[in-house]
Amino acid sequence: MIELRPERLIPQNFQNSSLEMTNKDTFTNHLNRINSAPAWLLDLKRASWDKFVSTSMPKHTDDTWRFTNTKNLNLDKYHQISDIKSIKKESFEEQSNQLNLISGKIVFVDDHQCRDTEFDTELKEKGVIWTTLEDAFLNHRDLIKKYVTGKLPNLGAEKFGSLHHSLMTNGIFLYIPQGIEIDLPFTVYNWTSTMGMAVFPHTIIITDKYAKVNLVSFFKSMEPNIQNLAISCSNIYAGIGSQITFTAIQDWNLKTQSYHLNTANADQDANIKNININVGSAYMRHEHHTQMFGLGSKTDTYSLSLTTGEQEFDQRSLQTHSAPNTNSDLLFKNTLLDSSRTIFSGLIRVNENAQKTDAYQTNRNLLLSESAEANSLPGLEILADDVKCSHGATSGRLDDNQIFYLLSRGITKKTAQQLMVFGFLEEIIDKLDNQDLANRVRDIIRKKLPK
Amino acid sequence: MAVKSTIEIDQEKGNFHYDTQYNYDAGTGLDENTIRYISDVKGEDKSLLDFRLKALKIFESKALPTHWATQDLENINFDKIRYYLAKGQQPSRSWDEVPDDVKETFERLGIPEQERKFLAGVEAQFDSEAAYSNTKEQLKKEGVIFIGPTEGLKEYPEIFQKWFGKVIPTGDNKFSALNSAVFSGGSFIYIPPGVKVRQPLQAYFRINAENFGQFERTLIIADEGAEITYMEGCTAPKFETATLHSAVVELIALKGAKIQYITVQNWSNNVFNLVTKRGMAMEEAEIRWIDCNIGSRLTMKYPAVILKGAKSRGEVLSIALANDRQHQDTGAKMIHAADETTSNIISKSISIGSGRSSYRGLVNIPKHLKKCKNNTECDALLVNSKSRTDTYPAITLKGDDNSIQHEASVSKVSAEQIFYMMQRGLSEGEAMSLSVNGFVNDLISQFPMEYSVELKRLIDMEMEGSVG
Repeated sequence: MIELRPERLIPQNFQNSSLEMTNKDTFTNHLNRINSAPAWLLDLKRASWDKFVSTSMPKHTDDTWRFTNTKNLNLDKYHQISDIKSIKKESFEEQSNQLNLISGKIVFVDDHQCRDTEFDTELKEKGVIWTTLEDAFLNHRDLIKKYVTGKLPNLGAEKFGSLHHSLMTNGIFLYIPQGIEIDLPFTVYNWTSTMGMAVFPHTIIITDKYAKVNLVSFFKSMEPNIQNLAISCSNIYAGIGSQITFTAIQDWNLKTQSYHLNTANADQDANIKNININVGSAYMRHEHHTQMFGLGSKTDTYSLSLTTGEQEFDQRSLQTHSAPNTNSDLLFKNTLLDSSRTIFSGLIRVNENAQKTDAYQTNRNLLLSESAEANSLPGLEILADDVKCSHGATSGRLDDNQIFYLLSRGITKKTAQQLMVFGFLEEIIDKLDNQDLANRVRDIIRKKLPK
Repeated sequence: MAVKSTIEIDQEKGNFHYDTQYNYDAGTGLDENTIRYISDVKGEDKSLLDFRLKALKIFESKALPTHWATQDLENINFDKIRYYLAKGQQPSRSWDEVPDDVKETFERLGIPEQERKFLAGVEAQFDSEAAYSNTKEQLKKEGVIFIGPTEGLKEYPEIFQKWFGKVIPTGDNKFSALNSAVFSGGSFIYIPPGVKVRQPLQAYFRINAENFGQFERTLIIADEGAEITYMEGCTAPKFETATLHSAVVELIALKGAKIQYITVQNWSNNVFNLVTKRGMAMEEAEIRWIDCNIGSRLTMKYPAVILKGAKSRGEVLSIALANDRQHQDTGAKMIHAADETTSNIISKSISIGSGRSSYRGLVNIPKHLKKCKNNTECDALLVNSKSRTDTYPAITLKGDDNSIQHEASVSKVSAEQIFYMMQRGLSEGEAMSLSVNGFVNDLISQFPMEYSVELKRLIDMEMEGSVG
């Protein structure tokens, strides 16, 4: 029997000590805490830890870390010991209520589930699984074993990905059986609350044939000044003819170092839509690998970023077409203020057999200050000949003529700029296809823009 | 002493060579003795010998850039390459003095004498040394210098030394270090202030010895307000073992000067062509690279412009054609280092059969610069299902007063177009050739006339047998 209750996760003797992530004891203690986990999971964790230890920290000369300020990356100050017992429920309850119409809700604080799972009972009866990983390890053992595999996008952050798999304890598991179509989104809130806490949120979404589902994931910090390490992994598998929409709202506080390592895998005629709203973190690494292995599958990946201060967003994407008649689109829009930096590195890879592929990749950067810096590495590797592929990257400023037009109509410069920024980002917000959520995102952006 | 020999003419273009007796030969392999030998034969002073020896050390210490470039580089056997060969002749002053066999080589290449007379000055490099060098009297009067780098250093040390190795430092990369160690041949050109050279200066290069690496070194300085077009074209005979060509070309455009550098590269399919080309544009100057790569086994070439002066402009227009077993790894670099600088990159590549073409670009607008602009377009055409194309640009922009745009597209030859042309009586091959020529036409039209004609002919020849 596995016992992964929050209280079990706090080893008494380490209550007040800080552990370095790179310390061997960290892993030994972790294994001790989850010793009743299934053997295959322990094996996976051991292999992941070995990989973590044997992989060196990234250097700026590594091709997959080009332009990153790698000296800012570190794993030394973090631990896995939450003071969750002292948290007041009210402090996060209200804010874990961003959307009104939902199919289900799960709230984590420091990787511990802190309120009961909300779940539309009708869907439960239809065979939909909406639960925590902790619970899935217990009650859906055979199913979960197929999908917790240590899969990573493999775009450079393998060290951090391996650490995720070795120390990960919780996350969500969403499974939709054949033919079930769900319109209202499932929501998950991942909060950090303890100073120095390292969290490892894990997300698995599986759709069986012709199923349809929508998940919105919020990543937030309870306090503005706590320093956290967040390494999140998500693996999405869309079965034949199914549709998945996955939205991630990355709104960690500005002290957080975060890694969001995602894979999306589309079977025949499946559609996957992934939308990323990135505003938080001191440093964020976002890796995204979409793989179209089924004939006629389609993936759309969108990202909206707003960076201020000294923030650095490091985005790496790969679109792999490994079957014919596949279609992919990618649009990353970044707005940069102050001395912030963004890196977008994208690659479309079309394999030999993936004829009749349409693949697009666009990166647009809007620089609003003289010391902001946008780096763009849009790449293509095309091995099939009957394809339509293109990529585009533009970096620039607000159009003077448009600003002038607004000013001449009595709008102040600040408002004009805000309007223009919203105009620039609206293209992504529009993809959310949910007015409630779109308004929440607009709120987040408005809050972050200079007053 | 010229040697008449039986001409081994094959129907394949460029696939012929003459037995040539080499008076000087540094043997195969590379060590300090090779360098000392080259330097001695060329009668260089100690400072240049030291420069070469230092470069050799840097070359040896640097690893091959295979962490981003193709593994094919590992197939270069540096020990089997001849680093220096020359006939030991002074560059000829008039056409009559050019040895007959060299003349025949040019005849076979189809460079008509009239064309050469038409052109301002011809310097044809036969292996390492310039076999023919003639600058028109008019240019001489205007003070234009057009000689080899060795002579440049001896005769004009104050100009030469000021700029030599300044745009491309020896340690820039492994192959620029190799060139710095063993360079011979190439051109040194100086255009005095305000002189606008109307007709292009031209140089033809040829490799004509098995396992012979050619390491020419070109330095072009256009003084304030001067203008010049330099053309470089090459075809090489086919050999059985790999050949290495590694040139270094440095351009300096002083205030208000314009330099246009045109290359048509058609080495045979066993040549590794690893070239470093970079220009520095001062205030209001303009540097334009027109680069066309059709031959070689592997070409790695990324012409660059450092926009050092305000309002300077850089441009790279590039065409690459990769046929079976060829890899054209080309691109461009634009380093903006002053306000109001603009750059433009247009690259078109065609992959045929198992050919692979790659575009690698770098655009950098680093510090608090104002009103800088870059435009990049790269289009790739894939002809067969085994063909491959890659695009790897890297763009950095800082500040809110600059703009960059980059666009790339990949497509195949339109089946409708081919069908339409075949319906009107063209064979599939002809239709394909016409379609490919159409794809690059808007770029080719920017080339000087004689080059655009030659280029279209080369593309036609490459397209032969690409279908069916």
